[in-house]
Amino acid sequence: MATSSLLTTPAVELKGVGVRYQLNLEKVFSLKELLVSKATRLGRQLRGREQQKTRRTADDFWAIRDISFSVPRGVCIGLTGRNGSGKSTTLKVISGVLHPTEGELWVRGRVSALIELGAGFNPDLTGRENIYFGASVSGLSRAETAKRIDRIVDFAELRDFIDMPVRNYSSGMYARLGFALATDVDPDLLIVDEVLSVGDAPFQQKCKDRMESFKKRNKTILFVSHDPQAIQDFCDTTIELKDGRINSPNP
Amino acid sequence: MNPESTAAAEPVVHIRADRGNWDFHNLVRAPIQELVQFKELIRNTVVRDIKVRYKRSVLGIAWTIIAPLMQMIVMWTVFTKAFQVSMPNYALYLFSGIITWNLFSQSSVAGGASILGAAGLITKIKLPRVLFPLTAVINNLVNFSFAFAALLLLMVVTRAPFHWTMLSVPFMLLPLILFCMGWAMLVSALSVFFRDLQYILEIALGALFYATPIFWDPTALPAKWHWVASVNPLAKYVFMMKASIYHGVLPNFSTYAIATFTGLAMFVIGWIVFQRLQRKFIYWI
Repeated sequence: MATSSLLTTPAVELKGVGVRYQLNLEKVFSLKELLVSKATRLGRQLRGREQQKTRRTADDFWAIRDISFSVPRGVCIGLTGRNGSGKSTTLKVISGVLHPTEGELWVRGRVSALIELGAGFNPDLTGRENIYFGASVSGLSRAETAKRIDRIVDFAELRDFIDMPVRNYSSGMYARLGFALATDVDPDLLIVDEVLSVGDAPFQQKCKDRMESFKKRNKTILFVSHDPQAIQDFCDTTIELKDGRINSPNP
Repeated sequence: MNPESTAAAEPVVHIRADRGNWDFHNLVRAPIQELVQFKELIRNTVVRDIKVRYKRSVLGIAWTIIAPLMQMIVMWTVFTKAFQVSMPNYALYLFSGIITWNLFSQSSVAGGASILGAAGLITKIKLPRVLFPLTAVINNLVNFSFAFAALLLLMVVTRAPFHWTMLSVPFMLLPLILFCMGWAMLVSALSVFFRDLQYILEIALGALFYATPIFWDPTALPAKWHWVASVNPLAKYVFMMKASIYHGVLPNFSTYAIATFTGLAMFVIGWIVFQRLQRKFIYWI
């Protein structure tokens, strides 16, 4: 890839992205219910299309719709909005967990998502074993992880506890390990969802320093928080979501 | 992903909301590329599952040998003492059947529950979801190899004859592994949508056990029951395994061809159903 396009293409680009939850489908949990619902739908279709249409719109729920924005490289962008406005859904689409119902998007570079710290941790394994496992979740090889493990352990301040099962960790230790691991995979794009409130004050300061150093190294950050102060401190620009749509113009 | 590749060309992910997931790329190429990229995770998942299973047990990994041996001893006692079965080396006959059956039944139970069990990861992190049912089968293959070591030991202890046909065991396993993987993918994907499936599966496995020549001899089967062994694919797999270990003969070509075709067909069906449904998992988990 040419260097010029590397600089000009945005790190993240969304075009008319929408995610629809089919509420009528989600209620079906057993085979019997599915057969009944299929039969009623068939009956409805036989009686006429109009009724079917009204049913669909009543039961469909768009978590996000018509979301279009782009994030230039090295920019920290904040996503704001009330609960249920679609922030987390947007992040899930970008991190590739949720496939959109409509629209398209491009994500360039290695992504690391701090959506829920330590999501893949197994309580019966030790901290060290979980680091190896968690790093491979991000696609790192064993050798690459071995090179980073000391740094991760030091950052999480868990030197004395790293060979203990994480079942015995406090929630703060758990989250510290998760943060240290997720930010050490050296992503080009970091997705942060409400996780900076982990640990005590000194550790929070370390997290903030690490985020700052990401920005300095021209990494892109997508940041979701309910804390207006945190958004103001970190973000170059913000996008406000409301009821699944963008409420503020794309800067 | 290695550092060199990121330096040369950064990964670009393009996601488009389309329904065109019947094409070669979406159905075959993209999932396989993902599996290759996450090979370290596949390895770690297998290792982790083995570690976690025996982490807090006293006998640890020895359970993979003890459990099927105990199963065999119970059945051996019932059938030789109560039902007067008098087959030479009946313990070996039973054990070779049991470990083959266990590979399938445990793969379908663990594999079938694997997607629901990995809900925490699947809803949070992008990864090739098909690795969960596949690693469940690989895991049981590891168990099988431990049990196979026990089988060799049993042969020495009971002075059963070693046949050269035993060397064909890996080839007998191959179609069964394909079948197990296909079945695990199918059940794991469907049970996201129908939770009843796990209960149905349990009952079906119980019935299938008796329809498979594990403790009984298929050649002694009355003619009117022959159809059981011909419609039940497991009967073929167990029969083939027993042929090479116990009887010292190789199954004829047509039996092996049918078994391979059945395994391959199940793998393809399981793969396609899984890839078609996997995008919807997150809404249902």
